[in-house]
Amino acid sequence: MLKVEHLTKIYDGGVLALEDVSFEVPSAQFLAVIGLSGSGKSTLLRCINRLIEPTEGKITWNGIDITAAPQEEMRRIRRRIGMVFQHFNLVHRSRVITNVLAGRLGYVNPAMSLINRFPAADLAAARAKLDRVGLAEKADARADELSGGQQQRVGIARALMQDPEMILADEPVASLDPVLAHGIMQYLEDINANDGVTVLCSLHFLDLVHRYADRVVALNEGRVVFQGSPQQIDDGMFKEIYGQEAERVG
Amino acid sequence: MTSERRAPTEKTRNPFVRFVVLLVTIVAILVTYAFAFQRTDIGLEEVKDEGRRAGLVRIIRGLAKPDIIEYDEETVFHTVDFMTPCPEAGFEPTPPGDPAEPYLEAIPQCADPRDEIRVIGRNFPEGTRAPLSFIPPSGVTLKLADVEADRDGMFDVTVRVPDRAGTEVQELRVTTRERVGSWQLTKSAKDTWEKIIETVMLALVATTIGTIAAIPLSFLSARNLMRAIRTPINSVALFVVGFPIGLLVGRQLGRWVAAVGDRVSDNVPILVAASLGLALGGWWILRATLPEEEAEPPTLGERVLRRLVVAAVAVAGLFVIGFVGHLLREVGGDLEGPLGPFGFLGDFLRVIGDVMVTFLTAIAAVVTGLVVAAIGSRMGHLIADRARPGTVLLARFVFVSLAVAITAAAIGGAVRWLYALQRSSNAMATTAGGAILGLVVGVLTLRFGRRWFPDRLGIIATFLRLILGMVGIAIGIGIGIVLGVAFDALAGVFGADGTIVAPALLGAALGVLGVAATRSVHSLPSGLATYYASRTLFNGIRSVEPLIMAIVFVVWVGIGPFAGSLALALHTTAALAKLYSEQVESILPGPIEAVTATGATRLQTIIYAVVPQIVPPYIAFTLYRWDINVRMSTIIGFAGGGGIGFLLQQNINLLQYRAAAVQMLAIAVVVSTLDFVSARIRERIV
Repeated sequence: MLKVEHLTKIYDGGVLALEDVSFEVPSAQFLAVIGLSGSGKSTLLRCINRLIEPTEGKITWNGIDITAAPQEEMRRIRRRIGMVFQHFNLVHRSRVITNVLAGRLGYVNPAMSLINRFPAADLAAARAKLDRVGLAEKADARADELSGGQQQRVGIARALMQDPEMILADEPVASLDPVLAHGIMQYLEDINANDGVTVLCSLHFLDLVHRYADRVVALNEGRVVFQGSPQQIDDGMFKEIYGQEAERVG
Repeated sequence: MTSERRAPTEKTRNPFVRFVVLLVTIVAILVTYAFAFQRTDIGLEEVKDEGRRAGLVRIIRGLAKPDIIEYDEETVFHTVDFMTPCPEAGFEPTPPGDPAEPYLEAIPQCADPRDEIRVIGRNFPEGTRAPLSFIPPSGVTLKLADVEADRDGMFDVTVRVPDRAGTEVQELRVTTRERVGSWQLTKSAKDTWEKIIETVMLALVATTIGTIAAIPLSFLSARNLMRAIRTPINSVALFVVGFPIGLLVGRQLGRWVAAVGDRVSDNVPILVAASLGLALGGWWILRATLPEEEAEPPTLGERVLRRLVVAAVAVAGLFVIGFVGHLLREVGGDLEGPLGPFGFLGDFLRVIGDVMVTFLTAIAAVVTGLVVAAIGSRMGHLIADRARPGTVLLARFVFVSLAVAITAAAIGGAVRWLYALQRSSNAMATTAGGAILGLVVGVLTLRFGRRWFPDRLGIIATFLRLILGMVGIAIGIGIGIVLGVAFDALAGVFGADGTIVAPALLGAALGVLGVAATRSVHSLPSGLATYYASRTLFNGIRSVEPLIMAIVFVVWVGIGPFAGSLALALHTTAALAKLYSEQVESILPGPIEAVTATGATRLQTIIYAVVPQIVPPYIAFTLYRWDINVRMSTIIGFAGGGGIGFLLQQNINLLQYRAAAVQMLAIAVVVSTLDFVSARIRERIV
């Protein structure tokens, strides 16, 4: 159970990115976060694993107060929260397998990881995760030799290496074409359904939301304007979320 | 449509105004260049001077003929018999042995003293210049003229016979020098070869040392890595307190380890056994106690045990450094003779060992200092995370005053040493106290400056804040001097050590005041502070010319390439750290974010997300720096820093431009080779 209470984020320049955001996510739910660009979706997801420090409010996860966790504890919390990014965020010059193993850094002995030595079990696991996303034969390729869709699959494999209880996906398919987008979303759906991993996924297209999400949180200028099931988003609600001049395209 | 049409009309200015602006601009540019010409003494008066032109031609011709190869030459005499005055019976000289070889002919074949005769030479190599002399029986050489063979190898001169009447056969002689044998390298070519190798190696050593030192420093001076780092005040204070304590403890430890090493310093079997045993044992214990990975946080007992093991292994590591150092020194010294021409390999081992043994105590002190400081910092974090606010504040009062006092005392000690002050001196206390207070006031004013000059004013706000900060520092130093004198007087009354105790007291008082004034501040931007500190340090070092550094190092380690290497290494460290850190600042932030999100530590994030991105530019810059160092070492040589510069300067001062040309050529060849090689390496790696 993830509980976000009265979360507010004001950036150093005075930009109000999130304002009094509250919602709950039961374990193993697939939650879509929607809203226009700049509505605060990315900030919200990054506040949950504190890549961005919230200004006010409280986030609790399985009874642990994430917002109050000191540095060391925060590292231990982060390693159970996988993250998938719009631009994949792989290390281009490293091998695919190294990128996947990076997901294990929170667990391994820091000294050994500094000289790029991982336990045999982790190496086997990394190959297994790559196999799961259909990239077993690319393990030794350089990450930048892969196509966009393949890179995002590596990103998912990296998140899986963390043995996550929750995955934060920040517009995971916004840089991909529709066919690849469904492929990536299906991996997330599979992880959500079969591994019982909670997924928080920000999305642009409503058809993806209808197809994959259990529930939706909609943001507009940092405020929650809608919470509920995807089916509840009718034309009136759509204009509420995306603005009066918006047209439905998907 | 209307808006499109209006926009240009608004911008179009009165043609007359535009003309005036253009005119003023042109005049301003002309005035600037006129001033520049005057300041740089640009003029042609000197250039028109004949003597200067001849000098220039001499230098250019000298440089165009590098003195690389030479031939052995021998002196050859071409003679024809001659008599003066003519004997009664007339005189017929011996005809030339081979009419195809060079020979001389005098017309007439004999003459009275002071008569004019023609001397004709044939078959000489074209362009031969040689002296023509008259050799009387006494054997002295009376020079008559300089001759030069024309295109047919012939010359024809008219000379006056010297007043050396005699009855014996005398001789006319042309002395030429002829090449014998094949070409060989000149001495300056050989010297240049030796010195250019020295130069390349000097640059290599300097670049290597500089690179090794610059890599970790470059991360500390990369804004994007350091910006987010904030540390609780207690943590910073305990770091400052912990470092000197660790330094002292570590020095004792290092001396003890060194003493043990010295006792077995020449017993090779014991050294080998001890180093191997300690290294393997340490490795095994580390592997046994530290888990490869763990899901649950370790218990307190496990943590304590691990820390103890790591500490023990670290001490063992010191012993290994000592033992291996002695071992290398012994083995290297023994190998130097038997290795013959490769004796330098033995010498290399000996020097490395010597470095390890010599710096053992220093390494131990610094490492222990950092470890204790890190423990202190960790305790500060724990206090900030766990303790109640009241306790945190109380701890802050104690630790911050202690930290400021220690810093002030350290500054006091440094200033006393630097200015060779008396043990009790108020100049000292005032300086230290003033500097500290000035910095504090400066930081505070900068802080309030943000409120007074908000960000929206842009660069002007930054500038005004900076001015305000400077004024703050000046006021602070003024107040500090007054306070310093007061405290110094106080310390004098108690008969204490004025240069250390007074600043310490002042520092403690300032610490208390500072904490009281900044209760609402919980953490310090330690990352940015490190960033600015290291940047300032690098800029300071970089602005000192290597030539000047070389002079300092020459005084310290003597004339020669070692001084040059040290000077260039120091400069390289600062320059590369700057270049590297700018590369770190331009990497993609995405991978850092991704690796941080997995729960990696900061160090792991650097290794996995930063390092792979910066390998190509780091290699490119390192190679470029090697190239720069080769060129710089020519200047270093001017100051006695070894390398080819010494030779070059000597030859230029002696006006031996042909020899200097060899050295310049060598530098050009090496620099182009390095450029070519580095281009190829970059191609492969990027």
